[in-house]
Amino acid sequence: MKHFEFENGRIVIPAVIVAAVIAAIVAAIQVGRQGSKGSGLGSEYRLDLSSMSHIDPELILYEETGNPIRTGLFESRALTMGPSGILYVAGDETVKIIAPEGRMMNSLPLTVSPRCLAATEEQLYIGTWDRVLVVGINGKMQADWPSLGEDARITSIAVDDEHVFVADAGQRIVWCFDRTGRLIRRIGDKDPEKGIPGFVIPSPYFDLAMAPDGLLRVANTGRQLIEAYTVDGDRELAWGKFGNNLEDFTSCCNPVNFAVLSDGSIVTCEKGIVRVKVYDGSGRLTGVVAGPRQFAGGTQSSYETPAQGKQIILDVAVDDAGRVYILDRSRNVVRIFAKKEV
Amino acid sequence: MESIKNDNGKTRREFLRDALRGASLAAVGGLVGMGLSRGDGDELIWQIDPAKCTYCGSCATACVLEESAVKCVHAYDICGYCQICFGFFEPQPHAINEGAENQMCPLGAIGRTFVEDPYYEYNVDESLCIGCAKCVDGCNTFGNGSLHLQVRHDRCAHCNQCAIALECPSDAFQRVPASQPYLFKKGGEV
Repeated sequence: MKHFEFENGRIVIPAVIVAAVIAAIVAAIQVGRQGSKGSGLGSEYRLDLSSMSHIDPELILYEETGNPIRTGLFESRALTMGPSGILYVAGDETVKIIAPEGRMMNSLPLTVSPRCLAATEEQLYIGTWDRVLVVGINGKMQADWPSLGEDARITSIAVDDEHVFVADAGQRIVWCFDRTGRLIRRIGDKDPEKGIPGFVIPSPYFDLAMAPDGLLRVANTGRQLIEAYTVDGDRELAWGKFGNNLEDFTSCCNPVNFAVLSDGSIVTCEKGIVRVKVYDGSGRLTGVVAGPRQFAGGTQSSYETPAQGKQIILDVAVDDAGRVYILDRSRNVVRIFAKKEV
Repeated sequence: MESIKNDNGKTRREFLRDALRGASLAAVGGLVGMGLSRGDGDELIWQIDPAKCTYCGSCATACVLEESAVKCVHAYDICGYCQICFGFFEPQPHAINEGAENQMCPLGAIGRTFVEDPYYEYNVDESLCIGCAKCVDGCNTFGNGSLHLQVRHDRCAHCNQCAIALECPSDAFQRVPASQPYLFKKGGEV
Protein backbone atom coordinates (compact mmCIF):
# COMPACT_ATOMS: atom_id res chain seq x y z
CA MET A 1 0.00 0.00 0.00
CA LYS A 2 2.77 2.40 0.99
CA HIS A 3 4.58 1.65 -2.28
CA PHE A 4 1.42 2.32 -4.32
CA GLU A 5 0.74 5.64 -2.54
CA PHE A 6 4.27 6.78 -3.13
CA GLU A 7 4.00 6.01 -6.87
CA ASN A 8 0.64 7.80 -7.07
CA GLY A 9 2.13 10.94 -5.53
CA ARG A 10 4.75 11.11 -8.24
CA ILE A 11 2.06 11.23 -10.88
CA VAL A 12 -0.59 13.35 -9.19
CA ILE A 13 1.51 16.33 -8.15
CA PRO A 14 3.08 17.01 -11.55
CA ALA A 15 -0.31 16.46 -13.18
CA VAL A 16 -1.85 19.09 -10.92
CA ILE A 17 0.91 21.55 -11.73
CA VAL A 18 0.55 21.00 -15.48
CA ALA A 19 -3.21 21.40 -15.26
CA ALA A 20 -2.81 24.67 -13.34
CA VAL A 21 -0.40 26.03 -15.95
CA ILE A 22 -2.74 25.10 -18.79
CA ALA A 23 -5.65 26.73 -16.98
CA ALA A 24 -3.64 29.91 -16.50
CA ILE A 25 -2.72 30.05 -20.18
CA VAL A 26 -6.31 29.50 -21.24
CA ALA A 27 -7.50 32.21 -18.85
CA ALA A 28 -4.91 34.67 -20.12
CA ILE A 29 -5.89 34.08 -23.74
CA GLN A 30 -9.60 34.36 -23.08
CA VAL A 31 -9.44 37.46 -20.96
CA GLY A 32 -7.69 39.89 -23.30
CA ARG A 33 -6.11 42.97 -21.78
CA GLN A 34 -7.45 45.11 -24.56
CA GLY A 35 -11.07 45.93 -24.14
CA SER A 36 -11.91 45.33 -27.75
CA LYS A 37 -10.90 41.76 -27.35
CA GLY A 38 -12.37 41.36 -23.92
CA SER A 39 -15.72 43.10 -24.32
CA GLY A 40 -17.16 40.56 -26.71
CA LEU A 41 -19.12 43.26 -28.49
CA GLY A 42 -19.42 43.31 -32.26
CA SER A 43 -17.57 45.72 -34.52
CA GLU A 44 -20.59 48.04 -34.72
CA TYR A 45 -19.88 48.99 -31.11
CA ARG A 46 -16.32 50.06 -31.86
CA LEU A 47 -15.21 53.38 -33.35
CA ASP A 48 -13.09 52.56 -36.38
CA LEU A 49 -11.15 55.42 -37.94
CA SER A 50 -8.75 53.35 -40.01
CA SER A 51 -10.39 54.23 -43.33
CA MET A 52 -10.06 57.93 -42.57
CA SER A 53 -6.39 57.78 -41.73
CA HIS A 54 -5.16 56.83 -45.19
CA ILE A 55 -3.79 59.58 -47.41
CA ASP A 56 -2.63 59.07 -51.00
CA PRO A 57 1.19 59.32 -50.78
CA GLU A 58 1.16 61.41 -53.96
CA LEU A 59 -0.59 64.16 -52.01
CA ILE A 60 1.96 64.31 -49.22
CA LEU A 61 4.16 67.12 -50.49
CA TYR A 62 6.35 67.60 -47.45
CA GLU A 63 8.92 65.54 -45.62
CA GLU A 64 10.27 65.88 -42.12
CA THR A 65 13.74 67.34 -41.89
CA GLY A 66 16.21 67.11 -39.05
CA ASN A 67 15.45 65.94 -35.55
CA PRO A 68 12.44 67.13 -33.57
CA ILE A 69 13.26 70.02 -31.26
CA ARG A 70 12.39 69.25 -27.67
CA THR A 71 10.69 72.20 -26.04
CA GLY A 72 11.78 71.19 -22.57
CA LEU A 73 8.31 72.01 -21.30
CA PHE A 74 5.92 69.81 -19.37
CA GLU A 75 2.96 71.30 -21.22
CA SER A 76 3.69 73.08 -24.49
CA ARG A 77 0.73 75.16 -25.63
CA ALA A 78 1.54 77.47 -28.53
CA LEU A 79 4.09 78.21 -31.20
CA THR A 80 4.84 81.31 -33.21
CA MET A 81 7.49 82.38 -35.68
CA GLY A 82 9.19 85.68 -35.01
CA PRO A 83 11.39 87.81 -37.23
CA SER A 84 14.65 86.28 -38.46
CA GLY A 85 13.29 82.77 -38.17
CA ILE A 86 13.30 82.66 -34.38
CA LEU A 87 10.74 80.30 -32.88
CA TYR A 88 8.84 81.02 -29.69
CA VAL A 89 7.12 78.26 -27.75
CA ALA A 90 4.77 79.08 -24.89
CA GLY A 91 3.99 76.58 -22.16
CA ASP A 92 4.08 75.93 -18.42
CA GLU A 93 4.90 79.41 -17.07
CA THR A 94 7.56 80.32 -19.58
CA VAL A 95 8.37 81.14 -23.17
CA LYS A 96 11.15 79.22 -24.87
CA ILE A 97 13.15 80.96 -27.58
CA ILE A 98 14.64 78.71 -30.24
CA ALA A 99 17.19 79.70 -32.89
CA PRO A 100 16.55 78.84 -36.55
CA GLU A 101 18.97 75.92 -36.39
CA GLY A 102 17.06 74.42 -33.47
CA ARG A 103 19.31 75.55 -30.64
CA MET A 104 17.56 76.65 -27.45
CA MET A 105 18.57 80.30 -27.09
CA ASN A 106 16.77 81.52 -24.03
CA SER A 107 13.87 80.98 -21.68
CA LEU A 108 11.65 83.78 -20.42
CA PRO A 109 10.12 82.98 -17.02
CA LEU A 110 6.61 84.27 -16.40
CA THR A 111 4.32 84.28 -13.40
CA VAL A 112 1.31 83.29 -15.47
CA SER A 113 0.43 80.45 -17.83
CA PRO A 114 0.79 81.63 -21.43
CA ARG A 115 -1.83 80.31 -23.85
CA CYS A 116 -0.76 81.97 -27.10
CA LEU A 117 1.71 84.52 -28.35
CA ALA A 118 2.84 86.68 -31.24
CA ALA A 119 6.29 88.13 -31.83
CA THR A 120 7.52 91.32 -33.45
CA GLU A 121 11.06 92.67 -33.76
CA GLU A 122 11.04 94.01 -30.23
CA GLN A 123 8.10 92.62 -28.37
CA LEU A 124 6.18 89.51 -27.45
CA TYR A 125 2.44 89.71 -27.09
CA ILE A 126 1.51 86.92 -24.72
CA GLY A 127 -2.07 85.85 -24.13
CA THR A 128 -3.19 84.34 -20.84
CA TRP A 129 -6.75 83.16 -20.50
CA ASP A 130 -8.18 86.64 -20.08
CA ARG A 131 -5.60 89.29 -20.89
CA VAL A 132 -2.57 90.25 -22.91
CA LEU A 133 0.93 90.85 -21.57
CA VAL A 134 3.46 92.79 -23.57
CA VAL A 135 7.01 91.66 -22.88
CA GLY A 136 10.19 92.96 -24.44
CA ILE A 137 12.39 90.49 -26.28
CA ASN A 138 14.85 90.96 -23.41
CA GLY A 139 12.22 89.62 -21.03
CA LYS A 140 11.20 92.90 -19.43
CA MET A 141 7.49 93.32 -18.79
CA GLN A 142 6.24 96.35 -20.65
CA ALA A 143 2.48 96.26 -20.26
CA ASP A 144 -0.29 94.21 -18.72
CA TRP A 145 -3.52 94.98 -20.53
CA PRO A 146 -6.83 94.91 -18.66
CA SER A 147 -8.75 91.67 -18.36
CA LEU A 148 -11.25 90.97 -21.12
CA GLY A 149 -13.66 89.54 -18.60
CA GLU A 150 -14.17 86.32 -16.68
CA ASP A 151 -15.65 84.65 -19.74
CA ALA A 152 -12.62 85.46 -21.88
CA ARG A 153 -10.51 82.62 -23.27
CA ILE A 154 -7.73 84.11 -25.38
CA THR A 155 -6.46 81.55 -27.85
CA SER A 156 -4.55 83.47 -30.52
CA ILE A 157 -2.88 86.80 -31.19
CA ALA A 158 -1.82 88.43 -34.44
CA VAL A 159 0.01 91.70 -34.89
CA ASP A 160 0.44 94.07 -37.83
CA ASP A 161 2.02 97.51 -37.97
CA GLU A 162 -0.84 99.23 -36.19
CA HIS A 163 -3.06 96.61 -34.65
CA VAL A 164 -3.12 93.70 -32.26
CA PHE A 165 -5.85 91.18 -32.96
CA VAL A 166 -6.89 88.90 -30.12
CA ALA A 167 -9.06 85.81 -30.64
CA ASP A 168 -11.31 85.18 -27.65
CA ALA A 169 -12.88 81.70 -27.77
CA GLY A 170 -14.83 82.24 -24.59
CA GLN A 171 -16.73 85.25 -25.90
CA ARG A 172 -16.52 84.14 -29.56
CA ILE A 173 -15.14 87.43 -30.79
CA VAL A 174 -11.97 88.95 -32.17
CA TRP A 175 -10.78 92.01 -30.30
CA CYS A 176 -8.92 94.66 -32.29
CA PHE A 177 -6.53 96.86 -30.28
CA ASP A 178 -3.94 99.40 -31.26
CA ARG A 179 -0.36 98.63 -30.27
CA THR A 180 -0.78 100.51 -26.98
CA GLY A 181 -3.67 98.30 -25.90
CA ARG A 182 -6.50 100.71 -26.62
CA LEU A 183 -9.56 98.80 -27.81
CA ILE A 184 -10.62 99.88 -31.29
CA ARG A 185 -13.43 97.51 -32.23
CA ARG A 186 -14.88 94.02 -32.06
CA ILE A 187 -14.67 91.86 -35.18
CA GLY A 188 -17.01 89.01 -35.99
CA ASP A 189 -20.20 89.94 -34.18
CA LYS A 190 -23.18 88.31 -35.86
CA ASP A 191 -24.66 90.76 -38.37
CA PRO A 192 -26.94 89.28 -41.04
CA GLU A 193 -27.10 92.59 -42.92
CA LYS A 194 -23.35 92.58 -43.37
CA GLY A 195 -23.27 88.85 -44.10
CA ILE A 196 -21.45 88.04 -40.89
CA PRO A 197 -22.81 84.77 -39.45
CA GLY A 198 -20.91 85.05 -36.19
CA PHE A 199 -18.26 82.78 -34.77
CA VAL A 200 -19.18 79.31 -33.57
CA ILE A 201 -16.42 78.15 -31.25
CA PRO A 202 -17.37 74.91 -29.45
CA SER A 203 -13.90 74.27 -28.01
CA PRO A 204 -10.96 76.43 -26.89
CA TYR A 205 -9.30 76.47 -30.30
CA PHE A 206 -9.78 79.69 -32.20
CA ASP A 207 -6.90 80.87 -34.35
CA LEU A 208 -6.18 83.91 -36.47
CA ALA A 209 -3.32 85.32 -38.54
CA MET A 210 -2.55 88.25 -40.80
CA ALA A 211 -2.14 87.35 -44.46
CA PRO A 212 0.09 89.09 -47.02
CA ASP A 213 -3.00 90.57 -48.69
CA GLY A 214 -3.70 92.61 -45.57
CA LEU A 215 -6.79 90.64 -44.59
CA LEU A 216 -7.10 88.96 -41.22
CA ARG A 217 -7.72 85.25 -41.52
CA VAL A 218 -9.83 83.72 -38.76
CA ALA A 219 -10.76 80.07 -38.23
CA ASN A 220 -14.49 79.85 -37.58
CA THR A 221 -14.10 76.30 -36.31
CA GLY A 222 -17.70 75.42 -35.55
CA ARG A 223 -18.64 76.26 -39.12
CA GLN A 224 -15.46 74.62 -40.52
CA LEU A 225 -14.53 77.88 -42.27
CA ILE A 226 -11.51 80.07 -42.81
CA GLU A 227 -12.84 83.61 -42.99
CA ALA A 228 -11.12 86.81 -44.09
CA TYR A 229 -11.89 90.16 -42.49
CA THR A 230 -10.64 93.65 -43.11
CA VAL A 231 -9.19 95.49 -40.13
CA ASP A 232 -12.44 97.44 -40.11
CA GLY A 233 -14.38 94.26 -39.48
CA ASP A 234 -15.89 93.61 -42.92
CA ARG A 235 -16.12 89.95 -43.92
CA GLU A 236 -14.56 89.65 -47.35
CA LEU A 237 -14.51 85.94 -48.06
CA ALA A 238 -14.83 82.51 -46.51
CA TRP A 239 -14.06 78.95 -47.58
CA GLY A 240 -14.15 75.46 -46.12
CA LYS A 241 -16.75 72.90 -45.23
CA PHE A 242 -17.36 69.82 -43.17
CA GLY A 243 -16.99 66.56 -45.01
CA ASN A 244 -15.44 63.15 -45.37
CA ASN A 245 -13.10 64.05 -48.22
CA LEU A 246 -9.49 65.03 -47.73
CA GLU A 247 -10.17 68.60 -48.83
CA ASP A 248 -12.85 69.00 -46.18
CA PHE A 249 -12.57 69.55 -42.44
CA THR A 250 -13.66 66.74 -40.16
CA SER A 251 -14.91 66.90 -36.60
CA CYS A 252 -17.18 69.38 -34.94
CA CYS A 253 -14.61 72.15 -34.87
CA ASN A 254 -11.65 72.44 -37.24
CA PRO A 255 -9.10 73.70 -38.16
CA VAL A 256 -7.81 74.13 -34.63
CA ASN A 257 -4.77 76.10 -35.77
CA PHE A 258 -3.34 77.47 -39.00
CA ALA A 259 -0.51 79.57 -40.41
CA VAL A 260 -0.17 81.67 -43.54
CA LEU A 261 2.70 81.16 -45.97
CA SER A 262 4.36 84.09 -47.73
CA ASP A 263 2.43 83.35 -50.94
CA GLY A 264 -0.89 83.49 -49.11
CA SER A 265 -1.32 79.73 -48.86
CA ILE A 266 -2.73 78.46 -45.60
CA VAL A 267 -1.40 75.53 -43.58
CA THR A 268 -4.13 74.03 -41.38
CA CYS A 269 -4.03 71.63 -38.41
CA GLU A 270 -6.98 69.39 -37.58
CA LYS A 271 -7.90 67.39 -34.49
CA GLY A 272 -9.77 64.11 -34.47
CA ILE A 273 -8.21 62.88 -37.69
CA VAL A 274 -4.86 64.53 -36.99
CA ARG A 275 -3.45 65.98 -40.18
CA VAL A 276 -1.77 69.10 -41.55
CA LYS A 277 -2.83 70.31 -44.97
CA VAL A 278 -2.05 73.19 -47.33
CA TYR A 279 -4.68 75.23 -49.17
CA ASP A 280 -4.15 78.06 -51.62
CA GLY A 281 -5.57 81.49 -50.90
CA SER A 282 -8.93 80.63 -52.43
CA GLY A 283 -9.34 77.50 -50.36
CA ARG A 284 -8.33 74.86 -52.86
CA LEU A 285 -6.41 71.96 -51.33
CA THR A 286 -2.91 71.81 -52.76
CA GLY A 287 -1.42 69.04 -50.64
CA VAL A 288 -0.67 67.49 -47.29
CA VAL A 289 2.19 68.23 -44.94
CA ALA A 290 1.65 65.30 -42.59
CA GLY A 291 -1.07 62.73 -42.08
CA PRO A 292 -2.46 60.87 -39.07
CA ARG A 293 0.03 58.04 -39.29
CA GLN A 294 2.85 60.46 -38.70
CA PHE A 295 1.60 61.34 -35.26
CA ALA A 296 1.69 58.86 -32.41
CA GLY A 297 -1.87 57.91 -31.62
CA GLY A 298 -3.13 59.87 -34.59
CA THR A 299 -5.23 57.02 -35.86
CA GLN A 300 -6.15 55.15 -32.77
CA SER A 301 -9.67 54.88 -31.56
CA SER A 302 -9.02 52.39 -28.78
CA TYR A 303 -6.21 52.71 -26.34
CA GLU A 304 -4.26 50.72 -23.87
CA THR A 305 -3.54 53.66 -21.64
CA PRO A 306 -5.42 56.89 -20.98
CA ALA A 307 -2.41 58.87 -22.19
CA GLN A 308 -2.78 57.38 -25.65
CA GLY A 309 -6.38 58.49 -25.77
CA LYS A 310 -5.62 62.09 -25.00
CA GLN A 311 -6.64 64.30 -27.86
CA ILE A 312 -3.73 65.38 -30.05
CA ILE A 313 -3.70 69.10 -30.74
CA LEU A 314 -1.09 70.58 -33.05
CA ASP A 315 0.03 74.16 -33.49
CA VAL A 316 1.82 75.39 -36.58
CA ALA A 317 4.14 78.15 -37.73
CA VAL A 318 5.92 78.80 -41.00
CA ASP A 319 9.10 80.57 -41.99
CA ASP A 320 9.94 82.74 -44.99
CA ALA A 321 11.47 79.74 -46.79
CA GLY A 322 8.16 77.89 -46.65
CA ARG A 323 9.19 75.39 -44.01
CA VAL A 324 6.39 74.24 -41.71
CA TYR A 325 6.99 73.93 -37.98
CA ILE A 326 4.52 71.73 -36.13
CA LEU A 327 4.24 71.79 -32.36
CA ASP A 328 3.23 68.33 -31.24
CA ARG A 329 1.84 69.15 -27.80
CA SER A 330 1.44 65.53 -26.78
CA ARG A 331 5.19 64.93 -27.13
CA ASN A 332 6.40 68.46 -26.44
CA VAL A 333 8.46 68.65 -29.61
CA VAL A 334 8.60 70.90 -32.64
CA ARG A 335 8.85 68.99 -35.88
CA ILE A 336 10.08 70.64 -39.06
CA PHE A 337 8.75 69.81 -42.50
CA ALA A 338 10.07 71.03 -45.82
CA LYS A 339 8.65 70.66 -49.27
CA LYS A 340 9.94 67.63 -51.11
CA GLU A 341 12.26 68.18 -54.03
CA VAL A 342 10.28 67.63 -57.23
CA MET B 1 0.08 6.32 25.04
CA GLU B 2 2.45 9.15 25.67
CA SER B 3 1.87 12.34 23.65
CA ILE B 4 4.66 13.34 21.34
CA LYS B 5 6.10 16.69 22.31
CA ASN B 6 8.14 19.10 20.19
CA ASP B 7 11.38 20.67 21.27
CA ASN B 8 9.48 23.36 23.21
CA GLY B 9 7.58 20.74 25.20
CA LYS B 10 4.28 21.41 23.39
CA THR B 11 2.00 18.68 22.22
CA ARG B 12 0.29 18.89 18.87
CA ARG B 13 -3.03 19.56 20.53
CA GLU B 14 -1.58 22.39 22.58
CA PHE B 15 0.01 23.89 19.44
CA LEU B 16 -3.25 23.83 17.52
CA ARG B 17 -5.12 25.32 20.46
CA ASP B 18 -2.61 28.19 20.80
CA ALA B 19 -2.65 28.78 17.05
CA LEU B 20 -6.43 28.97 17.05
CA ARG B 21 -6.39 31.45 19.90
CA GLY B 22 -3.85 33.60 18.09
CA ALA B 23 -5.81 33.54 14.84
CA SER B 24 -9.00 34.47 16.67
CA LEU B 25 -7.28 37.38 18.36
CA ALA B 26 -5.91 38.55 15.00
CA ALA B 27 -9.35 38.35 13.41
CA VAL B 28 -10.92 40.33 16.23
CA GLY B 29 -8.16 42.90 15.97
CA GLY B 30 -8.69 43.17 12.25
CA LEU B 31 -12.40 43.67 12.62
CA VAL B 32 -11.85 46.36 15.22
CA GLY B 33 -9.37 48.05 12.93
CA MET B 34 -11.74 48.01 10.01
CA GLY B 35 -14.49 49.40 12.14
CA LEU B 36 -12.28 52.24 13.36
CA SER B 37 -11.15 53.11 9.87
CA ARG B 38 -14.74 53.44 8.78
CA GLY B 39 -15.69 55.41 11.80
CA ASP B 40 -17.72 57.85 9.72
CA GLY B 41 -19.89 54.96 8.64
CA ASP B 42 -19.62 55.86 4.92
CA GLU B 43 -19.90 52.81 2.72
CA LEU B 44 -17.56 52.54 -0.24
CA ILE B 45 -18.95 51.87 -3.70
CA TRP B 46 -17.49 51.46 -7.16
CA GLN B 47 -17.17 54.26 -9.67
CA ILE B 48 -15.34 54.99 -12.92
CA ASP B 49 -12.68 57.68 -13.10
CA PRO B 50 -13.38 59.18 -16.55
CA ALA B 51 -9.80 60.42 -16.80
CA LYS B 52 -8.60 56.83 -16.85
CA CYS B 53 -11.26 55.30 -19.07
CA THR B 54 -10.01 54.05 -22.43
CA TYR B 55 -13.47 53.36 -23.92
CA CYS B 56 -12.73 49.65 -24.29
CA GLY B 57 -16.35 48.46 -24.21
CA SER B 58 -15.95 46.04 -21.32
CA CYS B 59 -18.41 47.92 -19.13
CA ALA B 60 -21.19 46.74 -21.42
CA THR B 61 -20.48 43.04 -21.02
CA ALA B 62 -18.52 42.45 -17.83
CA CYS B 63 -21.20 43.57 -15.38
CA VAL B 64 -22.85 40.73 -13.46
CA LEU B 65 -26.23 42.24 -14.35
CA GLU B 66 -27.85 41.36 -17.62
CA GLU B 67 -28.09 45.08 -18.38
CA SER B 68 -24.92 46.80 -17.27
CA ALA B 69 -25.14 49.31 -14.47
CA VAL B 70 -22.71 51.50 -16.42
CA LYS B 71 -24.30 54.20 -18.54
CA CYS B 72 -23.10 57.10 -20.59
CA VAL B 73 -23.64 60.46 -18.93
CA HIS B 74 -23.29 63.96 -20.32
CA ALA B 75 -21.41 66.92 -18.85
CA TYR B 76 -23.43 69.69 -20.46
CA ASP B 77 -21.11 72.42 -19.22
CA ILE B 78 -18.29 70.90 -21.29
CA CYS B 79 -20.34 70.23 -24.40
CA GLY B 80 -20.02 72.54 -27.39
CA TYR B 81 -23.60 71.87 -28.51
CA CYS B 82 -22.23 71.35 -31.99
CA GLN B 83 -24.44 70.82 -34.99
CA ILE B 84 -22.02 68.09 -36.09
CA CYS B 85 -21.34 66.10 -32.95
CA PHE B 86 -19.24 62.97 -33.06
CA GLY B 87 -20.78 61.54 -29.99
CA PHE B 88 -23.99 61.57 -32.01
CA PHE B 89 -22.85 61.14 -35.63
CA GLU B 90 -20.71 58.47 -37.18
CA PRO B 91 -17.33 59.92 -38.28
CA GLN B 92 -18.40 59.70 -41.92
CA PRO B 93 -22.15 60.27 -41.90
CA HIS B 94 -24.07 59.96 -45.13
CA ALA B 95 -25.93 63.14 -44.25
CA ILE B 96 -26.21 65.50 -41.32
CA ASN B 97 -29.59 64.36 -40.11
CA GLU B 98 -30.97 62.11 -37.41
CA GLY B 99 -31.24 59.07 -39.66
CA ALA B 100 -30.24 55.88 -37.90
CA GLU B 101 -27.59 55.15 -40.51
CA ASN B 102 -25.81 58.38 -39.56
CA GLN B 103 -25.80 57.88 -35.83
CA MET B 104 -22.83 56.78 -33.78
CA CYS B 105 -24.86 54.79 -31.24
CA PRO B 106 -25.91 51.41 -32.62
CA LEU B 107 -28.92 51.50 -30.28
CA GLY B 108 -30.03 55.06 -30.88
CA ALA B 109 -29.51 55.93 -27.23
CA ILE B 110 -28.46 59.51 -27.93
CA GLY B 111 -31.02 62.01 -29.05
CA ARG B 112 -30.68 65.62 -30.01
CA THR B 113 -32.85 68.67 -29.67
CA PHE B 114 -32.48 71.86 -31.69
CA VAL B 115 -31.69 74.85 -29.48
CA GLU B 116 -30.92 77.72 -31.88
CA ASP B 117 -28.85 77.91 -35.05
CA PRO B 118 -26.40 76.16 -35.09
CA TYR B 119 -26.62 74.63 -31.61
CA TYR B 120 -28.10 71.32 -30.56
CA GLU B 121 -28.51 69.72 -27.16
CA TYR B 122 -27.61 66.04 -26.85
CA ASN B 123 -29.20 63.72 -24.31
CA VAL B 124 -28.64 60.10 -23.37
CA ASP B 125 -31.57 57.70 -23.03
CA GLU B 126 -30.30 55.39 -20.29
CA SER B 127 -32.99 52.82 -20.99
CA LEU B 128 -31.30 52.19 -24.33
CA CYS B 129 -27.67 52.75 -23.35
CA ILE B 130 -25.60 49.64 -22.67
CA GLY B 131 -22.38 51.43 -21.69
CA CYS B 132 -20.35 50.37 -24.72
CA ALA B 133 -18.51 53.76 -24.79
CA LYS B 134 -18.53 54.11 -28.57
CA CYS B 135 -20.03 57.60 -28.25
CA VAL B 136 -17.58 58.42 -25.48
CA ASP B 137 -14.75 57.46 -27.81
CA GLY B 138 -16.12 59.67 -30.59
CA CYS B 139 -16.74 62.59 -28.27
CA ASN B 140 -13.27 62.42 -26.77
CA THR B 141 -11.53 61.88 -30.10
CA PHE B 142 -13.25 64.63 -32.03
CA GLY B 143 -14.98 66.86 -29.49
CA ASN B 144 -14.74 68.23 -25.99
CA GLY B 145 -15.13 64.93 -24.19
CA SER B 146 -18.38 65.78 -22.45
CA LEU B 147 -19.72 62.24 -22.78
CA HIS B 148 -18.32 59.76 -20.29
CA LEU B 149 -19.24 56.56 -18.46
CA GLN B 150 -20.41 56.28 -14.89
CA VAL B 151 -21.76 53.47 -12.74
CA ARG B 152 -25.39 54.22 -12.06
CA HIS B 153 -26.06 53.37 -8.44
CA ASP B 154 -29.79 52.99 -8.82
CA ARG B 155 -28.93 50.02 -11.03
CA CYS B 156 -25.68 48.73 -9.55
CA ALA B 157 -25.76 45.53 -7.47
CA HIS B 158 -22.91 46.87 -5.33
CA CYS B 159 -20.83 43.74 -5.53
CA ASN B 160 -18.02 43.62 -3.04
CA GLN B 161 -15.70 42.89 -5.94
CA CYS B 162 -16.93 44.58 -9.09
CA ALA B 163 -16.63 42.26 -12.07
CA ILE B 164 -16.10 45.18 -14.44
CA ALA B 165 -13.30 46.52 -12.24
CA LEU B 166 -11.52 43.18 -12.60
CA GLU B 167 -11.90 43.42 -16.37
CA CYS B 168 -10.99 47.09 -16.78
CA PRO B 169 -7.67 47.35 -18.65
CA SER B 170 -6.84 50.81 -17.37
CA ASP B 171 -7.75 50.49 -13.66
CA ALA B 172 -10.39 53.16 -14.10
CA PHE B 173 -12.59 51.70 -11.38
CA GLN B 174 -12.10 52.96 -7.88
CA ARG B 175 -13.89 52.95 -4.55
CA VAL B 176 -15.63 56.17 -3.60
CA PRO B 177 -17.75 57.09 -0.58
CA ALA B 178 -21.43 56.36 -1.04
CA SER B 179 -22.08 59.96 -0.01
CA GLN B 180 -20.19 61.10 -3.15
CA PRO B 181 -21.05 58.35 -5.60
CA TYR B 182 -20.20 60.02 -8.90
CA LEU B 183 -17.04 61.27 -10.57
CA PHE B 184 -18.66 63.47 -13.17
CA LYS B 185 -16.54 65.46 -15.56
CA LYS B 186 -16.81 69.17 -14.97
CA GLY B 187 -16.10 72.14 -17.18
CA GLY B 188 -12.75 73.66 -16.47
CA GLU B 189 -9.52 74.77 -17.94
CA VAL B 190 -8.17 72.79 -20.84
